Amino acid sequence: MVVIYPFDNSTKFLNPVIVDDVIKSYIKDIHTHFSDETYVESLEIVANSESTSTILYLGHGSSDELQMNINLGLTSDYASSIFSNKKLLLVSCYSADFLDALNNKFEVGIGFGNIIDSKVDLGPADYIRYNFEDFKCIYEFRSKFVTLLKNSLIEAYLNNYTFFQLYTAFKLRINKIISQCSLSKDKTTRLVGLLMFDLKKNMVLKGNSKAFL
Amino acid sequence: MKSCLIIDDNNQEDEKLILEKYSKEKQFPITCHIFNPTKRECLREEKIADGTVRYVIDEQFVLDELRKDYGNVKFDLIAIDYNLSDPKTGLEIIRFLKEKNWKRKVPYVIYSGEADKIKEKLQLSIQEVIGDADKLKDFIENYIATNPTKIYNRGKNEAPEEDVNQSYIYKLYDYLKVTKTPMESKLSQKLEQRPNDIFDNIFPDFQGIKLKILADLVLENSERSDRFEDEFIDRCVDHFIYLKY
Repeated sequence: MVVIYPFDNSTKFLNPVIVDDVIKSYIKDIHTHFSDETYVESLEIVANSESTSTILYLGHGSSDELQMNINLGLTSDYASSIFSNKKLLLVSCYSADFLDALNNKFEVGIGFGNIIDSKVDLGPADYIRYNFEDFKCIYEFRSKFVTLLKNSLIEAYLNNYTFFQLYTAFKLRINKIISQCSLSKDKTTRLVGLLMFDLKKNMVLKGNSKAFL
Repeated sequence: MKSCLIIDDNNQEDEKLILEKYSKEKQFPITCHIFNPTKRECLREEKIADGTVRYVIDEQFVLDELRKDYGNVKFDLIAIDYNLSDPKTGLEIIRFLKEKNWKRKVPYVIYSGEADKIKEKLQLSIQEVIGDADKLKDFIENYIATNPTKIYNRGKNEAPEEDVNQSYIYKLYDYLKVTKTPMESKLSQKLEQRPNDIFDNIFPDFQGIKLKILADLVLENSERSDRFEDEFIDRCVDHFIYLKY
C-alpha cells in the first residue's frame, strides 16, 4: 500500500490508522509532506508504483480535487493519469464524487461523502443539528471513525480481503456503532449515530470489487 | 414454529389436536388456533321481511374479535370453511379481512365438504366471463384479488392417512411443510404486536413512526419499503456478527 497523507493539524487525527503495527507492515511508501516544489515529484512516485498497489489517501478533499497542501489540489484530470489502474481508498470529503470525476480510470475505489470531522464541514442545517455541547459529537465521531477505519484495514490485510470485503467490513463496524448509539438516551451519542448513518449512506464502492487489497 | 388459524363455525377442537399431534410426531410442530365467526360477539341482528329477527355475521365484528384475540399472533397460514351457517361464505369473510389489511400477506386456503362443487362453480364462472371484458375485469377484481391458495375437501378425521378422503388437516400440514413463510410477512406481524409503539432508532426517515404503519409498509412493494427493509436487514445481521478487531 502507498499512503498519501498530507499532514497538518487538521488531519493529524487520522494518524492512528498508519501507526498501527499490522497496517504499517503493509505500507510500502508514505508521503506526508507536499511542498509546492516536491508535489509533482511525490506524485510521480505514486504514479510509478506497481499498478497492483493500493493507494490510501488520508486528507482533505472535494468533488474536484484532493488537497495536497494549503495551496495545491490534485485535480481529477491529473489524478486520472496518476491513478490509472490503481486501487484507491480515498478517505476524504466527497471522494465518492471525486471517484466519479475520474471516469473509471482506476481499478477499484472506495469513497465517502461529507465526512464531518470538524465544525468547518457543517452546512447551515447541520450546524444547528450538531451544535450541542460545543460539537462534542463531531470529535467522538471522528475518533470512532478512525478506529473503525484502522480495524477494518487490519481485518482486511490479515484475511487477504477484496475491496468488496473491505467495504462490508467498514459497513459492519458503522452498523455496530449505530446500534450502540441507538440504545443511548444521551443526545451526543445519538448525534454520533446520526453522523455514522450519513457516513454509511454516502460511502461508495466503484470498479472491480473483486480486486484484492 | 409454524402457526395456523382455522376459521370455522363448527367445533374444530379435534382437528386442532390432530394437527398439533401429527405435526409433532413428524418433528415439524405446528401450533393451531381456532376462531368461530358465528360466536355471539361476531353477530348482529337483522330483521327479515316477516318481522322476525335473525343473527348474521358482521364482518367488522369478526375483524374486531380477530384483532382482539390474535393481534399478537404470527400466522403462516389461515384456513377457512367455505360454507358457514350464514349467508356469507368464508371467501367473503376473507375478502373483507384482506381489504382491511388484516394479515393480508398471510396465505389462506379454503376447505369445504363441497370443495368439488366450489371448483366446478369457479370453472363455470371463468367460462362465463371469458370473452366479456367487463365481466372478466369484475371477476379478476372480486375473485383473483383474494384468491385462495388451495381449495381442499374437508374430508374425514378417521380416514387413513393415504386416503383421498382424509381430513383437510393433513393438507394444511403438507402446505405448511413445503411453503416457507416470506420474511416480510414475519416482520410485518412482529411489528404489529406492538402497533402503537414508536420506532426509535437512528434512521431519520422512519424515526417516530408508529410500528403499525411500518407493519403495513413492509408489505408494500415500493422504494420506501425496500429502503426500510434493506437498512433493517443490514443493521440486524451486522448486530449479530462477532468482531475480532
